[in-house]
Amino acid sequence: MVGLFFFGLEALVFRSGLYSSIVHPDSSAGYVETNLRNERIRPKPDANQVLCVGDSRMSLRPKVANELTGETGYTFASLGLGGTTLRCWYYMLRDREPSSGRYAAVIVPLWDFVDEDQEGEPFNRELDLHYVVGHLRLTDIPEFVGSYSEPEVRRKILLGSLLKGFTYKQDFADLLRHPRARYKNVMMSRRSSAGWTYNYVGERRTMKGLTVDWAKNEPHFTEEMTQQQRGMVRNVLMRPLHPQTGLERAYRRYWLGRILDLYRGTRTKLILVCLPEGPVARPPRRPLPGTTAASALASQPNVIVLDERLFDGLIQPDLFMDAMHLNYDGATQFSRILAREVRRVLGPPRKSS
Amino acid sequence: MLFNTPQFFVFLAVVLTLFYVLPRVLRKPLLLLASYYFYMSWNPKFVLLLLTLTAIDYTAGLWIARTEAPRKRKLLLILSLSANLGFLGFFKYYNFLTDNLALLIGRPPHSFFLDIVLPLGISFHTFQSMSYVVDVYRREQQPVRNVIDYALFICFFPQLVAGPIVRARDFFRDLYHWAAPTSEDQLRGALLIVLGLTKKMALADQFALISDAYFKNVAGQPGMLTAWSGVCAFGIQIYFDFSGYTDMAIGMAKLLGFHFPVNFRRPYLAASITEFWRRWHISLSSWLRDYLYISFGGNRYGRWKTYRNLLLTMLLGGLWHGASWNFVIWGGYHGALLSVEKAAGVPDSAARGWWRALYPLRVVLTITLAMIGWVFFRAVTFHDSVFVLQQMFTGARGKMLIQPWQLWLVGVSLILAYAEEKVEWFERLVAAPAWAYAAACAVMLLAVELIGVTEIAVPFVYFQF
Repeated sequence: MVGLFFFGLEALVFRSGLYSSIVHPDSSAGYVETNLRNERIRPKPDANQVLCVGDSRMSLRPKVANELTGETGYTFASLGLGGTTLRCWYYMLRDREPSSGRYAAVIVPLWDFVDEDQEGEPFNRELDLHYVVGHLRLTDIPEFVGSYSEPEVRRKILLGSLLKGFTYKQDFADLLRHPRARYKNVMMSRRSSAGWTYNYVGERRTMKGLTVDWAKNEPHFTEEMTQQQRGMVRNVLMRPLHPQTGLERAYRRYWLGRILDLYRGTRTKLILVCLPEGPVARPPRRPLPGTTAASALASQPNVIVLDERLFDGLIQPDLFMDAMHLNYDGATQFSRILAREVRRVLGPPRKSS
Repeated sequence: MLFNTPQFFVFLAVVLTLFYVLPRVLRKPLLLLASYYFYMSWNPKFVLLLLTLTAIDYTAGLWIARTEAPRKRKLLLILSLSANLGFLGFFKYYNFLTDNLALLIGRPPHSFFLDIVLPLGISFHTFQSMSYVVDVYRREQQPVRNVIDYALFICFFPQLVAGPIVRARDFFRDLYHWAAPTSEDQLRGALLIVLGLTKKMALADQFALISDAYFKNVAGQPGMLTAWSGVCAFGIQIYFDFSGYTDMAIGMAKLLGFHFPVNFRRPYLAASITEFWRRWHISLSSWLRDYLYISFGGNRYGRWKTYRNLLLTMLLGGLWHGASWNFVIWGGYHGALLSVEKAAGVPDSAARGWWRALYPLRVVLTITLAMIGWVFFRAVTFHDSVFVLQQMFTGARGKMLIQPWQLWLVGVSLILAYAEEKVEWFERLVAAPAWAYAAACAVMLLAVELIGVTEIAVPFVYFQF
């Protein structure tokens, strides 16, 4: 009976949406809550909505893309959030009514189409729990926990998804420390975050002057470049090739498959986009033998894989603010190209009934 | 295997299941095996020490009971006590004594230093064992014939590492007249475990983070408010830590059909230091009273000797806590306060009239005095203690280390403590409808989940003694 009461109390606080409504807007879980709430309440007058997910590298700016709505006929919105991954996107999209028929397409970005394994094992990213904790249902636990491979990580994820209080612990401590500030932040976020996000168009910093001598593996910076920009070039753009294990491919195939499952039998198309890789092109990498995740998905109904080289023209130091992220000009161009390409592949929008 | 770890709860679940499933004849061996396993999970080699002391005191008890000649009885008692104190002295006080000796003879401080690991719980099980032998010597306790019974008395896992110090007569009364715990006792036991876990993880560990950070570098954090809040954080930590541990120990024992004595009775509601010691670590203070204070003569030889006995008892009680002059000073400080209160005839909180009206002020004064004492208890060095005391009374303003929400926690705890004093909510809860009992446990567990320090298992303070 104690167990029943405890789980009941836990569920009342953490599974009813009660705690999610007061989670810190600037926390991992808070960002997800804010984004999903803003998208839920965003007016969607027709069924020509295009929703994109992604991490910080996803540079679709809905405001810029929607300036072309007259031309494309589609309205764009973004759930993109720095630090999120395919696994997070699945749970975020799952809670955006995939069967509602409101969305003509969902855009999912990938950094490359060769499934390059990078540092860190994608399956065992503990941080994912902190993003999606508010949206994990009891029935999700077996799959979510099972998607981690290391036993110790699985144990932590099981505990944190079963008893969400453990995952929200830091946020709760912050709430206790600053209850008034929390109230203000939550209220301010509810009032204004949709506008802030929509009006954000990017930074104007550039990587102008950056060149890389790939033969010597040496970057050449200009004096204006900050230490942070230089560090990111070395760590991200010039990252060494990690052992190619196929784990990234397996991870992508699994979670892209699960995202696709959400839209099976609906009119919503899944559009895969390959993002511009950085301010300068890296030497081409040979993909692992076998079918890439994007190719595997391309054969599925409802899936559209955009040309891998669609954004190659944006691989310019002038259009990036650091080694990973497009700047204002880059994001603007990216958004326009993507909006027009979506219109091209989806065809004319549906007429409002 | 700390009480506040998942591993321990798995261990406890297995032991409880087997205990209730196995036939009665196998229960004692099960508890003995489980207790040795529990002890060996810390450091397997020290089980030899435990077995040696068990063998010595078991044999001593039998011999003393069999011997009629007073001198021989006394000799056997001295041999047994020497063995216990010898082991305790070597493991706990060797480096302290030799460091002081080196200082006296002008040698460098660590000239005779040995890298000695303190066996877990040695202060507790030697005291428990010695009290048994003394009781047999005083003819207040029949010797235990069954070696398994005696071994279980010494190593019973709920209280092996940090008490409460159980008297032989209480333990063997439960062991020899064991009755299956009533449903009420089971409810009490489970509630005590949950309450103890909450005290430890949701309260003590919160304040441990503050006090540990403060006492790690007191000189780097000057200020009056800083010092008071750092010291108060420790005062709060040690109470919830130790009473939380004790609650869990008593609760576990209850689930196994044993009834341990109460070890804490809301000491921070005491109206005097004398009353504080009647409420704080009761099993130790009553042990010190029965085996030291009374042996020194108690209050039978006049006022000044009473004060001397109080002082001596508390000095030794302080030294029991650890091998450092700081503990001796802490003990001496409390001994002096007890003597002053005795001389002034200060009554306890039950006093009527003006004393009653002054109760809130007296509580504040007692807490303040206790906090001053904790400085010596917690500070790493004597030099640090002096610095902290200087800051407490003459420092600049400083900053508050305890956050407002933590003060709320303390406030709620004080209200609950006062309510327990007045309406005994704990017993009412045991007798309450199942939903009320379950809801209370659920709220406590939720507190552990939300504010408990779970990233690391913070060791219990008294495990180091």
